[in-house]
Amino acid sequence: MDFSIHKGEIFGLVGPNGSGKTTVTNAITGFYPPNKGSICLDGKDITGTAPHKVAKLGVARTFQNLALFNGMSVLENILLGRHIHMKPGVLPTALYWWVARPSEIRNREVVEEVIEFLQLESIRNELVDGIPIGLKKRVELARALVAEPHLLILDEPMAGMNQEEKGYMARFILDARAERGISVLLIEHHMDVITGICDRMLALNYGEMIASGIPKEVVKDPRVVEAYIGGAHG
Amino acid sequence: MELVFLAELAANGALTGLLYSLFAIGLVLIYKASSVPNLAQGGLTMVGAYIVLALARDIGLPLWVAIPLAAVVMFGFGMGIERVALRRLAGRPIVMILMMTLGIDIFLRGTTLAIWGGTSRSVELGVGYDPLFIGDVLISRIHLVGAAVALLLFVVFVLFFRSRLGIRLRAIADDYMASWSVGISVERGVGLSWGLASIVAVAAGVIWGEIQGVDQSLSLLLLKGLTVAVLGGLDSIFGAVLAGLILGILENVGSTYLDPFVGGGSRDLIVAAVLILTVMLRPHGLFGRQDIERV
Repeated sequence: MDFSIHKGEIFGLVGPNGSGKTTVTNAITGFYPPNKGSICLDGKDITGTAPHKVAKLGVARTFQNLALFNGMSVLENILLGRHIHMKPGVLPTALYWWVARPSEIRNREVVEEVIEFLQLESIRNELVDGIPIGLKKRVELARALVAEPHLLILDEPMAGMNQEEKGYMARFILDARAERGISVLLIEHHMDVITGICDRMLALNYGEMIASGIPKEVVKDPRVVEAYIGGAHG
Repeated sequence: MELVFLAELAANGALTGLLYSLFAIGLVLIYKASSVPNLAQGGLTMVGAYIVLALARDIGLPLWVAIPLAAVVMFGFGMGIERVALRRLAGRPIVMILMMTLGIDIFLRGTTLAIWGGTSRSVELGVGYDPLFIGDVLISRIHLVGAAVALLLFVVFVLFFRSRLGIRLRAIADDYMASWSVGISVERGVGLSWGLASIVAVAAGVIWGEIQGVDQSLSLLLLKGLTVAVLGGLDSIFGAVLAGLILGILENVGSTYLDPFVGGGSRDLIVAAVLILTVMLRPHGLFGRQDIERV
């Protein structure tokens, strides 16, 4: 498979269960290095780079089954997303008022901005373990956004959400792109979401690209219909 | 039985218990970061004591230089063990990792035997053995010093886990996937936990080496340390401190009353009973995370 995501684009990735969508994101983010082929970010080859380094290069992600710090509060979770911009040095900490303060204020501003943007103000001090799944998904998105990534990978951000929550999430994604110029790779089963917010999309089946292009056209492609409906028409 | 005698048993039991906590903090640090119960912690404690002895007695450095230097050496040694022996086992069944730490423990014991022999040597901290009375209660000075060290380390680690580096370790303890995705190197964090546990091992090794002499039997502290760590909840430093106090008091007071009936040796029975009952009745210990079994 071969595809690229342009700057500032929302790119949809669809396919039946087991078609390799999550594997693609895991390959990009370094969780599973690919057996062959290469992955480039901002023109630099990042194939096989360790996941924490990929994160530092500006790729933030959310997980299909959530990967939050369950023992921590909403705010602590979001702050950890900002950690790649925080230097743990002893000296700057000791000289906090002179050296570390300006960057610290900037970090805090970004975090507060995202909390406001995603409307998490009222639950900021709650333990993540105890909040409903729709909010958990939002906290995960917040944690990804505060890293100020160039590329944001969302693995089924709307799984398990009702229509209203889906609408919210779609709006958040569109706004995130508009306000921050982030490129987004969006994995989703809800076709209405894909056609609604994605600029381009790619459909996978059994690890192969079966169609790509403008969402409205791709979803009409007979191969895509067949992959999804399972060849019910014979 | 007199009240003063009971108070004395409880006070000295509590101090001994804090010395178990001192040891158990090392176990907790590694367990927190990697969910590995480090069976080599006893070996590390023993090596820590031997290195202090080598620097102080064999080379002749003053103790205030030898102990920090040993801490630095052991920090590197602990990180090295993680890097060379443990990291490659990531994702393997936990029993293989346990066997590895057991193997390291045996290896360390054999190595110290080969280099320094099996004769017990003293650290000679210079704490003094004059009787110390607090009210009417007779207290052991070295135990008091050791308990103070344990509490000091406890405070240091509480503060450390609020620092930026400490928060990263907490994140790793919480969730590997989430840590990687926010740019935290889990591998480096686990290595750091081994380094820190090895520094704790130096502290425990010096205090326990002063109390019972430095030889291979120091590594057997693992049994009581594990009991304390499990009772405390394996991933809670505060739990380890509290569990140490409980176990220390229980075994000191309990064995004094029980020994006449069972003809001695009830100390170990009490420790064993605490370990077995904890695992049976409260596997996540006093302060451990409830979902530990889920991992």
